[in-house]
Amino acid sequence: MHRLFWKIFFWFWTAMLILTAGVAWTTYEMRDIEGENVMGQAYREFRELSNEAAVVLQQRGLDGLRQWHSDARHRKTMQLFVVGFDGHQHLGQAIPPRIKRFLGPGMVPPEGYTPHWIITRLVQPVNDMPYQIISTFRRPHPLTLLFTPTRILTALLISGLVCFWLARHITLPITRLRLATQKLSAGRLDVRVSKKMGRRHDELAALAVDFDRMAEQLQALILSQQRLIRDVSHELRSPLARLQVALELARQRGNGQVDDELNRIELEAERLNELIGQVLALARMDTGARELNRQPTDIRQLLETIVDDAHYEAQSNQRHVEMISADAAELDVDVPLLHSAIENIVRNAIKNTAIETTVEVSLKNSGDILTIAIRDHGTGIDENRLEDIFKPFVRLSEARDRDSGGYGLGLAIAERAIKLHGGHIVAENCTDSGLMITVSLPVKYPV
Amino acid sequence: MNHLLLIDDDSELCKMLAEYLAAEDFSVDMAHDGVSGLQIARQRPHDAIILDVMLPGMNGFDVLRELRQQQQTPVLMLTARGDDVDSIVGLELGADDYLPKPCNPRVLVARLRAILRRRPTPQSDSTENNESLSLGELLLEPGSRSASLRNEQLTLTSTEYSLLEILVRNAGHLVTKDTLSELALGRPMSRYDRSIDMHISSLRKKIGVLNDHQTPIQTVRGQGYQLVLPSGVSVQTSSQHHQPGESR
Repeated sequence: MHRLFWKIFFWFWTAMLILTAGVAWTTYEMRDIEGENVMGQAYREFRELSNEAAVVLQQRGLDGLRQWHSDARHRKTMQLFVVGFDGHQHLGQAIPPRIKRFLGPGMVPPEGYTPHWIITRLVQPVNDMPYQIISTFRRPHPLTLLFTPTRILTALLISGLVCFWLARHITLPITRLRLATQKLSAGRLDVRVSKKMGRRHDELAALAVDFDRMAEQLQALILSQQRLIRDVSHELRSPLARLQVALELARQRGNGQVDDELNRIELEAERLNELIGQVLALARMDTGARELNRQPTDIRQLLETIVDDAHYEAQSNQRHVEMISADAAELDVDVPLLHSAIENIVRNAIKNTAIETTVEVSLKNSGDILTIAIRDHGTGIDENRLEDIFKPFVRLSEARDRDSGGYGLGLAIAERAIKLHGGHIVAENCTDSGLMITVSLPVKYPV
Repeated sequence: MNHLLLIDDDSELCKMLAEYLAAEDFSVDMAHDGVSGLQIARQRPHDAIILDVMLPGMNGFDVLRELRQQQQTPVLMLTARGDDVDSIVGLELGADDYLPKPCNPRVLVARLRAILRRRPTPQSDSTENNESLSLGELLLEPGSRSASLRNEQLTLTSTEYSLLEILVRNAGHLVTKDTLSELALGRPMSRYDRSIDMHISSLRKKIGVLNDHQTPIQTVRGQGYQLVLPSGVSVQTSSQHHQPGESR
């Protein structure tokens, strides 16, 4: 979700920190040339401390120096060695080789920027022999002097804040656009985003305006298509309504002589009417005009009703429908919609199952997901075309479907209805024979 | 002979339907748009009005809304098939029943007869149900099919009155939706039929709440409705026209 945000944030932050370090380094180098630099200051501090040690030794003797040296502040700043004139060491740790060569009078180490600063002096305390006092200080790396913890923390904080703001500034409108796009693709055509862009006038704001224009176009297009479908079906139904009245008039006057033919006409008119109704239902769901009216429903009972009705109808064709297993399940659903969806799937299964076989319906409740499986004992479907059965009016094999009338709209309506409920529908061939259609409905759904 | 008003913009359909209805012993006035339909409805009394939702200009809902401000003539709405919202809106506005269009004229006639069977009978010859019923502050006059609450006349549609009367006669007992549909609408309840719920809902609005701020018509979830009896109150019948008799 925030991948882009963090990408931008870290890249910019890293770049900023590197830049800060680089600038600091360059600045340091430039100041070094002018002789006014942190290194020089560190050396001066070291030299003063070294002088102080010499003064302490001269005035307070070896014991006084030991006391002075026990102060942690001095110990931290430099290493101190005191060697007697006879070569005996009186203070400090074992003398490293790099210092040994400066032992003895007259040996003066160079000042300046060797890896270690070394200062040697001859000091003679009152009432004592002279000592050579050697103070050394490991030359600090310039960056450690430059990048103190406080400075690093400050740099991190400020650059972090700036980058956070920058990343947010860039990704926030993108996130908003993305949300709007999701809503749009979910069928909410009235979503607009440019007003949420604040006072921006950049490319992203322009993109938002373009998005709004696109959504408007889309809405207008779909509304007009919806209106067209509605008008067409209304126009189709008007002659159908007249046909039905004419039919009944004919019945009134025919005195029962042509009732068989009239019944047939009535049946076909009813089929036509049914088909128009299905086209309308599909159009309404496709355009998102059908809103769910969810109510707490006993799903097992709903399935039992469907199975009972379907079984009653199927019996006349020597086919059966049976509920083979059913967990208890309650779910908020749009009852008429879900009913018609499952009924369509069951009807399709009855049409495809072999004679004297049973369509098996089962309901499983895993707590998170309700799974409704409807299995027939027919010939199944070509593996490559399993998805196609959910498309309107699809015909899988010309020869066979010419008799059965193809898949019509039933499964297409079922698929849309299940999707509206936040679930999904899958068709698969069973290992022995027959088709299994599985409907999964989430128990927790987004409102 | 029953007098009908048919408001539908399809004039050819109207003509044929009028012919069919004439053979079924109805006389039919026709209007092809909402405005003229309202005009005719105001000029002459009708036994029932058949009203299409889809009308040019003023649609069926607007016509119904106007109509209900003046009269309670039973209205049968013709709604687009599959459009549940239309039927719910129609019932909310006070339609007595609805039928999806296109519909079989035989079904239309059956529904009409069901509606007409329960219209007011000014000189009723059936004596048994004509005693006025009173339940607390509620008074029902089955003879004129009118109801009043705290001496104020309630403007109920014919269907709403029927429902109220059934509930009052069974006050304190559960009446299933099936029973209500059979008795008040004259037809069995179809699957996912919300007609009764809609009628009860508008009936509740008209009756208002009792002293304890609760509706007197309580829902028994998944089963039906029940008129609650306030404590110490029972249904009183009093004969106004004929000899006193047990009505239930």
